[in-house]
Amino acid sequence: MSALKVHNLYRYFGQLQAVNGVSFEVPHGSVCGFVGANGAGKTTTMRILATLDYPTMGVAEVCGINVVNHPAEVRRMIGWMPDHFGNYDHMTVLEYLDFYARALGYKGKERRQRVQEVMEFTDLVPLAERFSNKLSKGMTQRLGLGRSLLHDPQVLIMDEPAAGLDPKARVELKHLIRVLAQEGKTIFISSHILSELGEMCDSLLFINAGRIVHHGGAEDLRRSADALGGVLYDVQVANEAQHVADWCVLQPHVEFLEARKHGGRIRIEVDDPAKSADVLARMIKDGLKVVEFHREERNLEDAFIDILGRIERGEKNVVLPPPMPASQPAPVEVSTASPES
Amino acid sequence: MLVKELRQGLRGKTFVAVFLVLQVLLSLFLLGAGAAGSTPRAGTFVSEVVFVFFSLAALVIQPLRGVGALSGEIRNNTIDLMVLTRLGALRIVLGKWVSVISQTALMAVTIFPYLILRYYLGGMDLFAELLLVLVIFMLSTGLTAVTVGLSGCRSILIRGLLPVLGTPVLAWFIFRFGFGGGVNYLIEFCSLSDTTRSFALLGFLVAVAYIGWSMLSIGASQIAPTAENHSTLRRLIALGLMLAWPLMLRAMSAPIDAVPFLWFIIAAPAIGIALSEEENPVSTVYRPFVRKGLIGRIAGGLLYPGWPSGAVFSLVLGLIGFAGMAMLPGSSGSQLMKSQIYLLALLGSLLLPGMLIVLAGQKFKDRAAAFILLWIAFVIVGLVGASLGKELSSSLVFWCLAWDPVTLLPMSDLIGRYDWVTFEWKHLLLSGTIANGIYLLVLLLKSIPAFRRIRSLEQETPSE
Repeated sequence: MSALKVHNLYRYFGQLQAVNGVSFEVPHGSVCGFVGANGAGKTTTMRILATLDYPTMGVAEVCGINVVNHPAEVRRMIGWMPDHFGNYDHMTVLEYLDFYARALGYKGKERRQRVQEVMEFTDLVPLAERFSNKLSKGMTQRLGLGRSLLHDPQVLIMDEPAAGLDPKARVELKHLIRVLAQEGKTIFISSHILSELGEMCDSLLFINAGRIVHHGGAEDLRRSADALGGVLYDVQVANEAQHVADWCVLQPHVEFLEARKHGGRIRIEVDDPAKSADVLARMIKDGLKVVEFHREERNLEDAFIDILGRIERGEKNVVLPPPMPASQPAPVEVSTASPES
Repeated sequence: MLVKELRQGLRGKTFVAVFLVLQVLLSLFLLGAGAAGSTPRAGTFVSEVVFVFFSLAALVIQPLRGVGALSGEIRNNTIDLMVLTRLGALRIVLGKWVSVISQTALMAVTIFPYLILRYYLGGMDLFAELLLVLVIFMLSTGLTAVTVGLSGCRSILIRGLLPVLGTPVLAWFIFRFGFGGGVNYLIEFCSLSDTTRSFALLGFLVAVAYIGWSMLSIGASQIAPTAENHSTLRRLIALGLMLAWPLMLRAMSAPIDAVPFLWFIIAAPAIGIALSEEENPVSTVYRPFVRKGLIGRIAGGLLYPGWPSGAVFSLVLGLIGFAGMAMLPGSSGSQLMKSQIYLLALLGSLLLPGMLIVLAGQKFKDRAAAFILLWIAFVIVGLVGASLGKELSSSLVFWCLAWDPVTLLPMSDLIGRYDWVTFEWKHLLLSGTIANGIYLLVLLLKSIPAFRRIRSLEQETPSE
């Protein structure tokens, strides 16, 4: 049985199709990264799994329990960490965690012990008496993580936990997630920082416009993108950086990917050194004062952009679910399985 | 929940400021009255000051603190974190409500010393004044329940309506009524010198408790997951009260004119919420009914969460209203007809916005807020239209507005008073019946496909 199972999930907000036939499974004890542009449907999917929203159609299960039919059972199994959350006025870190521990049903000594354990794990002990609304972003995220761990959930659902963190706080958070993964928790995490996800995730799930466009390991993704062909080059010029972009527009088989301070990043569609040399020669001939031209490794961001590019170009070699008929939202497909079954 | 809310509330600036200002003002006035001498007039003045300022704090400022109770949590993204705990939606809302009313209770306790000092100025009915403190406190709990319950509405119009319109009106009324002899009247009323007053006060407290609970229940529904059923209990309580209603009317010897309005107090929150609920697509909410077999499914037609059963429920409450009125001793002739018209007007005022929300389907995101706003709009249209008709001395204007059942109320007051009035009781009765009939028919027809969907969900639901 998978820790998370989503089958043919749809969520409409009026005419907007936020989630459009998403299906995937995340095995127990694995770390799965959930990647997509803003508005791709990540948060909606995660909120449905966390019982905070409900699907227009489809099934979502946590440890085999339907999230719509049995939200209370699911809530005991998951820890939810949203991308941002406000803290309370006039409440210290200790009081904050104590409140949530009470709300989760812990009593007396057990509650104090649980709060202490979580504070130690998230390194919040020195901040115990500080007001929770006076914390930095990094400290707030640690507090949020601590709160989501209070009831020792089997599955952690984290929506952009690293958003807005400084590099130090990001490293600290990454370390905590690694420790949790080693403890055997299933972690479903979304982020925009793909390189970090690649390092800590067993699998990556790419979503675009409400549809899953890739599900596999980071290496699979790189290989899949490499299979498309082409090589990436960093080009730096002594002229205006914009000249590189302008030049690429007129060239066949050369694509301008990203502007940089003194030039940009380009993709040459054919992986052939002679072709690359030819491109460089043409650049110089056309008046670009090239001061640097070197090959770059493809990273996860490139792979993601490649996938999006394939979809935009209408290349359907990625298996996509069939679109749902654009009529009134159908009723939720409900599982009648009881939590015990 | 309560601990957290109290901790935050008592440390908050608003409570501290209100508390201190109340104490300072009461101390100053009491000192002033004491200096003026120990006369009954000085005592009466002190009572007025104590009750007016306490009322301002308890009935205006404290309920206002509930306006942001749930919306603040929703805005800060903290409501999600709370509903994921074992607290449950109703406990979250109750915690917020109890926190505010506990602070109000604290304020109520602190005015006792002033009342004791006022005792020495003479002419005081201690029991009546203490009872009045309790009544004001109870009213405060009801108003706080209204603001806390509505604070979960997404519509800023609803949340803003109470502070922007309600606060100045209520504050003005408290000053005007309190210093205009109203406090003395209420103290005299609270002396409970006859049984009618006792029953009236009891009825008032029951109404406050019922409306307060209904509002808190609305708040809970707005933050609860779809699989939680808050509707059935709400409807059962309304039905229970409605069935006890004829007995209460007999005990209170209520005049038949007042009967429709008493019906409205019970029916309005129940029908309003029932008709603004969305269809519930979760099979588990039907399971407890399905387990009871055929009887359970029939009861579900009235008690299932969602507007389809809400339409049937509204019809049943309306029928109970008419039956209850007919059962009252001495109910006959034009008095009965007038009360029936009132009841039709009040029932129709609830059915019309309910029908529009059902017809609009998914267009209203916050259906409860839409219901309240539409109800207010139709009341305004009815009353403004009636004023216009009266100004123009034109029965035609009234008939043009007859689709808005609220218009029946001013129309029935005009019969026999002006020559230009061409309508009679039977016309209004017919008009009200037709309007209510159409609205109910639309609701019931729209509910047929919805009930089919519910039947299929019932069949999916295993009874064991």
